[in-house]
Amino acid sequence: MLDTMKRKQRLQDLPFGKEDVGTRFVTLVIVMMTALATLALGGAEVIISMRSNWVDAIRGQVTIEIPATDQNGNIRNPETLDALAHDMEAGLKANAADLKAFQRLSREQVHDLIAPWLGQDMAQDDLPLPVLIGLSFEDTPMPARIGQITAQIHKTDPAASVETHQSWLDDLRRFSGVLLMASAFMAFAVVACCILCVSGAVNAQLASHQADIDLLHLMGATDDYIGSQFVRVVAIDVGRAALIGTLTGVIFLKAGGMIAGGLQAATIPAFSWNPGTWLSFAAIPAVVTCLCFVAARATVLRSLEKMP
Amino acid sequence: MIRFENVGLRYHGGPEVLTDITFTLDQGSYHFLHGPSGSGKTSLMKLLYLSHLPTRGLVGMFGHDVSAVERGQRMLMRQRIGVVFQDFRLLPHLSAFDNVALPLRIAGRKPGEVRNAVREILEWVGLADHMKSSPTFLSGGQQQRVAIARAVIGKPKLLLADEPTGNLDDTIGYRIMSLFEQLNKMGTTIVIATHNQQMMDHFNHPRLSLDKGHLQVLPPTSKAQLMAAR
Repeated sequence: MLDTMKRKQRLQDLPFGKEDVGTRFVTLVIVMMTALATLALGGAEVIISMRSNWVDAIRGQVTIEIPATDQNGNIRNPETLDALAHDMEAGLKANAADLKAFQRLSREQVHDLIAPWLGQDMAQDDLPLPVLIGLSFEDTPMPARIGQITAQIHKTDPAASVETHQSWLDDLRRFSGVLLMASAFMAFAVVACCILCVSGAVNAQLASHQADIDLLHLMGATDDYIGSQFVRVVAIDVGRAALIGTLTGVIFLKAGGMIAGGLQAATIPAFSWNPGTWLSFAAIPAVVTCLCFVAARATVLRSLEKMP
Repeated sequence: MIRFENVGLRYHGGPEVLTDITFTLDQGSYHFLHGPSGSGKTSLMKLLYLSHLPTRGLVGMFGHDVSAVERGQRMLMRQRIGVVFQDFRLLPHLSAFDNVALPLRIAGRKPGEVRNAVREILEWVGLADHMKSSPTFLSGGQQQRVAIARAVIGKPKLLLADEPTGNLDDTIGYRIMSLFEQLNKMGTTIVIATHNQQMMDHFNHPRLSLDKGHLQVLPPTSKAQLMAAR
């Protein structure tokens, strides 16, 4: 008996056919759109993760270069460079309390750095190589602090340069910001497309069931009563399609993650499947369904209000 | 209960199909509406079941000027009107039971109450064995009985019927007319559009006679008066 009652409550007065071409089309569009939204969200997650990795990698890092030539262009011998580096280390350690580490790259390491451009076969003893020193601080020094460090270094060698990687980091931030904006625009376009499709489908359904709707109106059915039937069907169909689309997108991302993992590229971060990620993916069908629900309700009520 | 004063109706700026219609239907009255094809019967019925609003004049119903009330209130007024359409207008995807249950569900009645009321009325119109049948599989007469059951199940204040016995045999036809008589005795105002002279002669009710968009309120036919006198 309870089953019968439930069946009655779910009964649709209007014949919304599952075989309807328009309904199938909208379902397909929403599956594809939510899959795209999932990929866009996954892409945004990767960008954020990549930016975070890079920012973490250079946080608190300052690089000093003691050039292989002095200010007059004369080539310095390795002993002079060693002495300058030694003096610089002593000066910094004595005056920079926040300095965590002073790491000078060996000639072999500097040679390895320039090898891709000059070739492995070059004789390193013949080349005037600069001295590169990595300084690690507690946090990335502020510009004023950088000024103090630079002044300290210039006491030892006025030709030495200090690089905080800030300009590179700023470029990276700008670039990743553009990518994130593109992802957000894509998500917006996807949602807008879903809403337009649902509104169009609702209008088509209203037109095809005009006679039945008129009949319900004549029996005294309010716009809310009729509208709720449309909206219920839309919510179920869109919810199901959005879920399928999101799952499809997640499967794509999983497969992409496995392929990217196999690349072993240090610059490509592993896609992290933490609870927050799952939550954001789960939000996609919920958000799409809610927005389509609201759009369908607004469309159907606006159209019904125009009827006598 | 229903008051028409100098009512005119035209469709989309065309010529008037109803002109200067004036009449009053008291609560519990019973009228036949007749007239030749094209006289405006359907248009008058549309005004009565609030499908259309008059182009001019006043239509008062249940104490309200229908042109002045808000659309939402007009919907609620429609719940007090039962209509039997000439073409039945049953929903083919619903069973006979669900078609008849529609007005009660729209009115927000409880499922148990709906179930009992629908069973009772369908048994009464002789369709107890066809509750689950789709209207598509019912004969014209059976569909008409479903339409009548749907119109009367909500115990409407006003019942409008367009040729309600047109597809019925005499026995069922008179049974349905008796149902209308009973409803009328319980206070339902009834207007029946018909071409059936025999019916108008058999039941002693006044007539709304339409011709070329003009209406006259006439007394019952002389035969009906004679039969009533007997």
